[in-house]
Amino acid sequence: MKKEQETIFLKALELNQEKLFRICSIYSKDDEDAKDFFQEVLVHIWRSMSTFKANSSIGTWMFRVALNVCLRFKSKHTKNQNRFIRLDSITIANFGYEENSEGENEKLNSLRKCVKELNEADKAIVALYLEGIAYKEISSILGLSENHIAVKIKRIKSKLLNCINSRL
Amino acid sequence: MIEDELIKIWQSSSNQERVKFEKSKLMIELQSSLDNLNKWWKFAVRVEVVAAFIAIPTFAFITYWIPFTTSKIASVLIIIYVVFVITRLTSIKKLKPMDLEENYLMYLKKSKKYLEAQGRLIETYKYWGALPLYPIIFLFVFDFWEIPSKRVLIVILFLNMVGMHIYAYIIQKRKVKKEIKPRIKRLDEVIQSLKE
Repeated sequence: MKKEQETIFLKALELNQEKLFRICSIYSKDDEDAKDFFQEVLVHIWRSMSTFKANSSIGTWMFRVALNVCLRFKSKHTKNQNRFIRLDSITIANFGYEENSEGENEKLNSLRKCVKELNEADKAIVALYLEGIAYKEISSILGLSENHIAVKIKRIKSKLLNCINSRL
Repeated sequence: MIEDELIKIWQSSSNQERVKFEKSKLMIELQSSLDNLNKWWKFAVRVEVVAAFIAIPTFAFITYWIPFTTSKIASVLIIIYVVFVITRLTSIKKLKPMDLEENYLMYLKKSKKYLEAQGRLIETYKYWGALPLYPIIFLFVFDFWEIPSKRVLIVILFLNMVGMHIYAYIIQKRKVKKEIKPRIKRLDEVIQSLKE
């Protein structure tokens, strides 16, 4: 049973690791901070694995846990850095800017900065939207109606575009 | 820039940062982190249980051993007091949102409810935790006061108790003001903002 869980977990992690890391990065101050959040998220996902009932896809379930963990640990983080879990088996490789063109990097940096300027609620919504998750899934993760999500996303997108354009 | 570009730009960050992990080592580390978390939780529960198990038999023995009737009554009251305090402290833990699979809004609401209950418990501790102890202690030492050699000890113990309560009161007040209330405010803002 545990072996089966382990396989499901690792497979889902391989598929969603980048997305989870990007979600964590929204809530973090810098790269180190994002790694701390990411490791904390992984431990809590693994901890909750036994309760995963497959009512939703494992990816959706992982994002739900990730958002709640980020929320839970965000306020505690600045207080006590040492309480965070350190996993040596995980590395975040920085490839720098070589693979993207300069213009794309500039846009990405602006987008990151603009996302960080959003309020907590908007961050949670946009974190999921930018990962290409369907409105239906976002509504199930956040506990809001699909219509509500659609309206909010429209507003947030407009805020982000204004912010990015003013930076570029 | 067009709207659809946002997703593309966002996801292009994978070209810059890639998560790598060693499968076998990761599982070992995750399990050991989990064991440590569970150990800490068990330790915290044990401290409360041990405290209760020390206090209750000690005062049960004092009730039997002490010659003064008022002290016997006070010892029984202390046992009741200990049980009451532990029950109140543990009852708050039931509200702690443990289920990370809840939807975000529900998790926010539960977190807020837990913090509010925690804040209330701390703020009212002086009424249900500290003040009831004074008449009980007064009753406990009432007959000892007749023994002149014990008076200095009673005064020292009493002043110690008052000092500790004042210190605890200041610390708790600061905790509510600097930690709990700002977190409730932040949660409230997120909930309101989600609903808008």
